[in-house]
Amino acid sequence: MSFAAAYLQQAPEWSRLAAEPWGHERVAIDFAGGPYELTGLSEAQRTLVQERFAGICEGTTAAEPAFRFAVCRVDAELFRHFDPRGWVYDLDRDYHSGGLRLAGRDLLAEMHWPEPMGGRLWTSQNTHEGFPGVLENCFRVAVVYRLLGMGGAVLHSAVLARGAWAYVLVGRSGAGKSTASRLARSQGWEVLSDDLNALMPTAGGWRVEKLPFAGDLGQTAGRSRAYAVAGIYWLEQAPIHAVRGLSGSLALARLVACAPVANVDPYRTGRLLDNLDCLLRSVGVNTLRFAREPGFLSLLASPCTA
Amino acid sequence: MYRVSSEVRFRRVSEEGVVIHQRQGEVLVLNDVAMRIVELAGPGVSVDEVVERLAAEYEVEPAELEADVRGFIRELLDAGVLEPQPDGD
Repeated sequence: MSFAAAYLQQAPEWSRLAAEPWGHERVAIDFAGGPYELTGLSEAQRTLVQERFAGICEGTTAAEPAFRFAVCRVDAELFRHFDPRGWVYDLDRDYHSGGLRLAGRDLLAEMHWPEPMGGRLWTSQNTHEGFPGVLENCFRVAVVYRLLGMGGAVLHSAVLARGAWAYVLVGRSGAGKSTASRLARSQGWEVLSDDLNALMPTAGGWRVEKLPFAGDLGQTAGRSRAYAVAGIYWLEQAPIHAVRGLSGSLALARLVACAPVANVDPYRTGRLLDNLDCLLRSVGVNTLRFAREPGFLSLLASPCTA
Repeated sequence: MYRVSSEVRFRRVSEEGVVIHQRQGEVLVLNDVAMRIVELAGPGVSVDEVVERLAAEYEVEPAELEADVRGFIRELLDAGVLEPQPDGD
């Protein structure tokens, strides 16, 4: 099936897509790798963005945007309309050396990344039912590339924090990330996200902060503090808790598998490997065998006690 | 002669290697010898030349090494990591 065929009535003619803004409103959202700027919003869209990203959303910001999105109006007839019940949503992506095109339910986007990073988002959605979802789906992809350009990575993970340190749990679907998060929260730990987290290199080592997208724990869209990464654990269910070492290559393979979007982009997997290789030189990765009760928390070790 | 599939990206990590097969959505971990075969595969490099290079790097009987290399190549072809190189390439 050709690009976007699942979502569009006909193949997009990119050169003929008008860059007609919905309005003249502007908002900047500040989370990992940001600020991310949205222009061309209608008043209704601006209000929806400010509600969805309350606390990290500014009408104006002193910081130069790191990623600029122009939101454009497009006729609803461009998109296919279908019953989404029982349907697994997967955005259609078309990769290029300097960017990517994206198609989904009521959205079409193109993004480019040599600096300055940015792109256009076409949607027919202007209401509470549709626009926030369209925007979040776009951001989930944009932040991957922004972080990649910064030398970092987005990982499907649960991040548990206590004191100055955070522990990144990765694993297959069903390995217990959300269960571990609930147990940690019940023991007074902070849970950044049990879905997507941003890992970034800094002069003082690798840091992690949550991304403001929904997870199984019903996280808010706020921005977490950036914690120093104490360790990364590949989660496996087992009858008793245990921590076991993991070879460097297996650790890299595990992390690649947990890095959404970038791990299937033929133009960016080299950069992803570079960034994760750098992460592994700084942070240890072990297997955490997890028995679905809170005793596993005592096995998480900060670098100074490991 | 064989070459690395255009769908594959790989990285050596110490004495092993990680291979990403993008179309299949797979990440593989290869041992040292398999990784060397991937690293050596390329335009104009024959299986005999790969065996010759590896014989200089590993202390192993030539016949055993050749059998191992041919076995690894079969597995790498099955996994889509390597592909036959058309004549003239």
